[in-house]
Amino acid sequence: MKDDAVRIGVYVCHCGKNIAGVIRTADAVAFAQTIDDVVLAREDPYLCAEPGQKQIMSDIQEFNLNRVVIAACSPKLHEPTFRGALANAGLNPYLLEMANIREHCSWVHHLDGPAATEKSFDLIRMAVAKARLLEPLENRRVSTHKRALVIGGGIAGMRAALDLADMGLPVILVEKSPFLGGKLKGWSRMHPSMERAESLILPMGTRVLTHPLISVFTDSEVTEFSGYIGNFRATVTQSPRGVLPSCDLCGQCVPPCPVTRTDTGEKAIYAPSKGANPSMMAIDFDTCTRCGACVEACPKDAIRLDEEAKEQVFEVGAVVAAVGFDLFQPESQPKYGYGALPGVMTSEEVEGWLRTSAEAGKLTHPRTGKPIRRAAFIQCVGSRDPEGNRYCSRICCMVALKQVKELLERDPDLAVTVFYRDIRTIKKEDEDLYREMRDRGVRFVRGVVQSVTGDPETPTILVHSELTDTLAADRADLVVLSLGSVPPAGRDRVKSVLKLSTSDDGFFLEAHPKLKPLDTAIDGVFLAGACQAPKNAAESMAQGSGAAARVAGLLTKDHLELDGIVAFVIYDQCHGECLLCMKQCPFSAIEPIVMDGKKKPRIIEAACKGCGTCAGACPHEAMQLKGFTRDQLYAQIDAALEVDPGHKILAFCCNWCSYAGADFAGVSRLSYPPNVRIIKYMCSGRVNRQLVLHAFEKGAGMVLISGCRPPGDCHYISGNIQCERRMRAIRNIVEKRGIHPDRLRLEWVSATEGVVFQRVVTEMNERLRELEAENA
Amino acid sequence: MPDPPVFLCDASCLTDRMRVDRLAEALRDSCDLTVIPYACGERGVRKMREILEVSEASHGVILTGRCPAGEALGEVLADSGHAVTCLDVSAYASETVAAAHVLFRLRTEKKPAPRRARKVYADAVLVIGGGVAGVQAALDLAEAEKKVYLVERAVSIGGIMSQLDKTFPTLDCSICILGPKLADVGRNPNIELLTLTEVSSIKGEAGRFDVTLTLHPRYVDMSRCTGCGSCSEVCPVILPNEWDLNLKPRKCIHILFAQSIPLRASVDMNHCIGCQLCVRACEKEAINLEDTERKKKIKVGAIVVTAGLDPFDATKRAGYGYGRYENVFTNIDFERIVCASGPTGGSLVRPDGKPIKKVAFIQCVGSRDVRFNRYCSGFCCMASIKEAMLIKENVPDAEVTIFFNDIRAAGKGFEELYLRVLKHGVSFIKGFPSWIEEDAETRDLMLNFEEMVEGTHRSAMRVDAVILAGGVEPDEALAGLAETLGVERDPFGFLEERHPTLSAIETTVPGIFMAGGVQGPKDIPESVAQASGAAARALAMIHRLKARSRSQDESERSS
Ligand SMILES: Cc1cc2nc3c(=O)[nH]c(=O)nc-3n(C[C@H](O)[C@H](O)[C@H](O)COP(=O)(O)OP(=O)(O)OC[C@H]3O[C@@H](n4cnc5c(N)ncnc54)[C@H](O)[C@@H]3O)c2cc1C
Ligand SMILES: Cc1cc2nc3c(=O)[nH]c(=O)nc-3n(C[C@H](O)[C@H](O)[C@H](O)COP(=O)(O)OP(=O)(O)OC[C@H]3O[C@@H](n4cnc5c(N)ncnc54)[C@H](O)[C@@H]3O)c2cc1C
Ligand code: SF4
Ligand code: SF4
Ligand code: SF4
Ligand code: SF4
Repeated sequence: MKDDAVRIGVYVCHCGKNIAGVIRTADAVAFAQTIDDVVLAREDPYLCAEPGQKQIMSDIQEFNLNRVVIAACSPKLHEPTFRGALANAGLNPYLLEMANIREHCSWVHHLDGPAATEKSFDLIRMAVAKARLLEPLENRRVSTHKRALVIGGGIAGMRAALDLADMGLPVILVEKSPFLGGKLKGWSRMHPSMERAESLILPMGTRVLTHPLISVFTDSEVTEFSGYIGNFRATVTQSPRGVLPSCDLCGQCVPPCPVTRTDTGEKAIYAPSKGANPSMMAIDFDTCTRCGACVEACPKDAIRLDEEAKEQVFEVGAVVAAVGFDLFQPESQPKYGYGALPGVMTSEEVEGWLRTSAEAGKLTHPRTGKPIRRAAFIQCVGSRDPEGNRYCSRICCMVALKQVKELLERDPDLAVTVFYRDIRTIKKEDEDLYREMRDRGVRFVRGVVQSVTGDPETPTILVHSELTDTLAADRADLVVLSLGSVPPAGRDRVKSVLKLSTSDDGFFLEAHPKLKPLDTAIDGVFLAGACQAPKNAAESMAQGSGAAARVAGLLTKDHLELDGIVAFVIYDQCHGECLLCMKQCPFSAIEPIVMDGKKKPRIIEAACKGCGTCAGACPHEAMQLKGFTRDQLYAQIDAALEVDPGHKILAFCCNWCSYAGADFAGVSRLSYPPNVRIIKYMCSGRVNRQLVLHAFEKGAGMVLISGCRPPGDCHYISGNIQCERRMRAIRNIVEKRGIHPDRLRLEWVSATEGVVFQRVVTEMNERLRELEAENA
Repeated sequence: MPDPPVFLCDASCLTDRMRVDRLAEALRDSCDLTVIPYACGERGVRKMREILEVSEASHGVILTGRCPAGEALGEVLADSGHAVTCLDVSAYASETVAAAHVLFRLRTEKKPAPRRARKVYADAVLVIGGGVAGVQAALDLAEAEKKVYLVERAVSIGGIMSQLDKTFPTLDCSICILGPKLADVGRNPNIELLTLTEVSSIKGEAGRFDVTLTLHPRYVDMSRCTGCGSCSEVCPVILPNEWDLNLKPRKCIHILFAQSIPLRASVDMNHCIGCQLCVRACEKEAINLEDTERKKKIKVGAIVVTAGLDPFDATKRAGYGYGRYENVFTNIDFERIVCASGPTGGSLVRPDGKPIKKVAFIQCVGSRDVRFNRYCSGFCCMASIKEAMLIKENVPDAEVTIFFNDIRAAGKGFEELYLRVLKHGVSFIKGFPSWIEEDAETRDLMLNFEEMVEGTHRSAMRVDAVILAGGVEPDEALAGLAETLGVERDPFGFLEERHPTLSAIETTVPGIFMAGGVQGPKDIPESVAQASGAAARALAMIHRLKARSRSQDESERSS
């Protein structure tokens, strides 16, 4: 692009009324036309639609445009669409810059149209300034490991593994517990077919275990994980099971074992049934005393109490996380009387009881030993709670009705009451179950349970009706708490190893709540089943299959294309020897080479993830990131501060969390002051002294540095940690320069924390006002 | 021919009904019996394989309880080259009766002839219906390098989602997120999009289906039309636009909506007066009013049905006056009214121009009602909550009331949106109005209902507009499509699953999969997940059949 003059086309989108209802787009177009190098500016009702795309393509050809600026929605949504249009018109797709005038402007300033319009001018000016300096980039082609890793051997994970293997892709299946099947191992019968839960999981588990393309690792977890889409390395750590595959599940080891576990009532050496998958016992080493009684009893010499943990490393092209869910712990809410009153059981315990006992006729309470004449179910325990989990667990209404049905099948005379807030039987078969139970005389009482107290064996339930504002009491011999679902116990570990995010409810966060329910923010890592949100079994399985399709889309091709955003070295500026860039690169993507007798860095492009942490590390600005070079960032800063700089708040936001958080503020229509100007970098690891000082030198009123929440949220492992570390030094320098320390702020904002972004910039604006008043 | 080995499964599915020791006793002398603890477990299968390996007979029989293991067990043993049949013996009155039946079956039943694996049409898949589910399935299949025929009955893909304004729970703009996906379909070289097309017949079986499609005339040559719209400008016939629920006009030759894929004109021949004005106006000479129906034959290995669902026809609830009273709308009408690209440009006004300030929603119209559809439509509570939120955003002082039975906000982020509308002052009244009257003069509506505050009181409420949360039901044409495909429907009229839990995205015919609204009411994320799921099941099935036919070819060649 040396000789060619820069020719920029600017397009302002109405997005129906989303933008045009707030911003005067015609004025924005008129403004754009006044900027140097802009040869054309237009507006369009929907740039993302085919006519808009066609307009851009024909303009590129007709007017010889060599840069395009789109002022529209967040680049998180349509950047690929517009890049596609550039490519189709024969222009390098990276010669595009977007001005986010929807999420960062019209949606947050919808109450102040004129201010939004004026801000849109700045956003366009900034985008044009960066566009001027854009260079064409090339995508990288990478080969893929044609093997998938599935984490979690519940129904979702097993389904994903089977579908992938049936497509001809080898699968590593990692299951934390000793047996496959997940939660269903503990359930009695499954709604709606009312077949035995084990009859659903055992045949599947057997297919998984005997499939020639699936390698199953039970007792295992993924403990280390690195790499990038198509080329991941996963370390699988297998803890000792204590039993060899020669075990044939005869069970002779069980009676001699002296340890009975308090949580499950099983011995320390155990298997869920003769149909356990895999077919071998397991030892719970947390309770095992290593007395050796089982070793002596085993006729096959299959027990090894001294077995050690093993570690294996696998190269895989894609990952499905299907780590399931856990249940709310009712001990934390004493009002339900769980633990204190033996008459109170959880829904999980009821499943286990029904599963293992064939009792029919008059039922006996497994804990109190008393006959059960009246049973009561309490819904929403640990869900829909203003003080606790606010979400609804989706399945527990169905589960309670199913359990009522099974109880009534055993004892048709049982009197049952369900205390509920809303009955949420949303699946097509579920309403029938609800109607059937009403027809069979089950009482449904709407209200919020206040307490379960009184007689330990026949407790009293006190319920408040919101409708009539009255209190009522009822007694039952069996009180069942319908527990809500919570994220799986090992969530934090999985989250930090795989670098996944979670949503406000604590479950894993999908890439898009509607259209990408199975993808995550990490390319090549997918979700399936109840770990994403509570689901019934059919839904979990559909997701398992779905994740398999997403993986197949990646791994059936011979090559994948990765974007062109990688680091590069300006060797003239590199002094050599320090290799700070190499030391701070979270992905070992930099190797030393010798040049002019000095050690200098070289980028391993396939491994570089494009965070720019190295660029932030280099004291001489010799390391740069394509698409986010120093000059490009400075151009944006300068443009943002061209008018009235002292009144502006410059917010540096990382691509994954804080920029998305600001988007979320927009989606949620959270208003904040219009003097905020957001500049995106890939990761807060890009921040260095020069960047911050440049902003203040140009007169910025306030500077916000933001990124993903430490320690775990950073999409580049440790960029935010490097940022935090550097910020200490930067603060000192800023102060030494006589800049008020309050003018520089570091805040972490996650992708769902629109409110946090709103609060932070609002506070900064107030502080700015105060500082302005003090100085005046 | 040697007797087949018989395996008696000793597991809960059978022991719930029968004593396995007694059954074994009754059978032991008359056949080659082995009792297997948990035939479906890994150990059980290993044992059966060992026995089958040394048996002279080429297949075995497994006696089970009422359990869905048969199919999976068949596949597991097929992987090691063995054939088995499963017999459910749990329904007989006693162990001796069961034994007698088993022995009778063993004597009379011929061994299943090994099925000749036929050549598989492994490269192509048919997707029927281009709503969000069909679009996702097509994209996933195309990404995995299959040729996809995407058949859509209407002039454009998009389905219901293309008509929605915002989507719950995050309230992002529906067409903004769907539009790019539709465009991806249009651009994808592996997808052949056939709009105005229906399936007229199908022959064959899993792995090889011969399908005949009927392509209805569009009267516009798609390869020439650029979607410029000059034809509509000159067309003199003005009709109500059904896509905007007849709330806005369109021409007889028209493009359905701005993000239509394909973005091409089409003629509504029922109303064309043959004036030829458009033919002359079209610079591309794309219009041919003599266009006729065509047939197209395709060969595909698998089929994914994503034919969606239909909003409930609210005129059936006569007491609520839909269709008679101008200001009674349904959820889907209201989506168009609040949409910026809709008939009122997004302003909340009634057809007579009066601003909508006081609104009542009535839930469960046509759903959870044994007179109409007895199931819950699942998403309409959220649809109303979303629309209530949109009203509050547009007109903060609007008075919004939702009449409900249960509020079913059961999905990720749903309860949170429900709490948000509560905070915005939307009121919720449990119970439904019994009937609605219209004020003939003002066209306002009067709701009569019972309120349960300190006892039950008759109450009335006057509002500017009523929005009926009509649920959804199977598409009228679904019965015909099901018959063509030979797949069964469930008691509600949706497509029946092969197994409600294990194979909820497979129809009753092997090789025909399904996703989205055809299987039952559901929201967008679930439709999308199912669609990817159905794509995976289709890919896996094709691969398996292909591998099997290849290995059979090889073994035939070598023998
Ligand atoms: C009381 C109750 C009754 C129910 N009854 C029904 C019913 O009748 N019908 C119905 O359709 N649904 C029912 N459900 C819902 C059903 O249990 C779930 O839909 C299903 O279990 C979800 O499957 P999953 O594979 O996603 O998760 P899970 O079943 O939880 O399986 C997850 C698996 O991942 C493993 N894992 C976890 N963390 C790790 C890790 N870090 N590394 C490796 N592995 C890991 C776990 O050990 C487990 O094996 C019921 C739920 C409850 C609570
Ligand atoms: C008023 C309303 C509001 C809603 N709001 C939301 C929301 O905010 N969020 C959310 O998640 N969900 C919402 N939903 C639900 C959402 O619309 C559905 O989940 C989704 O549209 C289902 O997609 P689908 O592809 O299965 O079916 P559809 O969208 O119905 O698409 C089916 C397609 O198949 C075509 N077709 C039908 N029969 C045939 C045939 N025989 N041959 C060829 N093609 C055929 C149709 O023309 C159509 O294009 C809402 C639904 C309604 C009615
Ligand atoms: S599904 Fe039912 S019991 Fe469970 S949280 Fe939701 S409303 Fe409560
Ligand atoms: S620090 Fe980031 S940008 Fe630099 S080489 Fe490593 S991965 Fe690439
Ligand atoms: S038919 Fe002709 S006039 Fe009509 S939109 Fe297509 S190209 Fe334009
Ligand atoms: S989702 Fe709500 S409105 Fe719709 S049928 Fe179910 S309960 Fe009624």
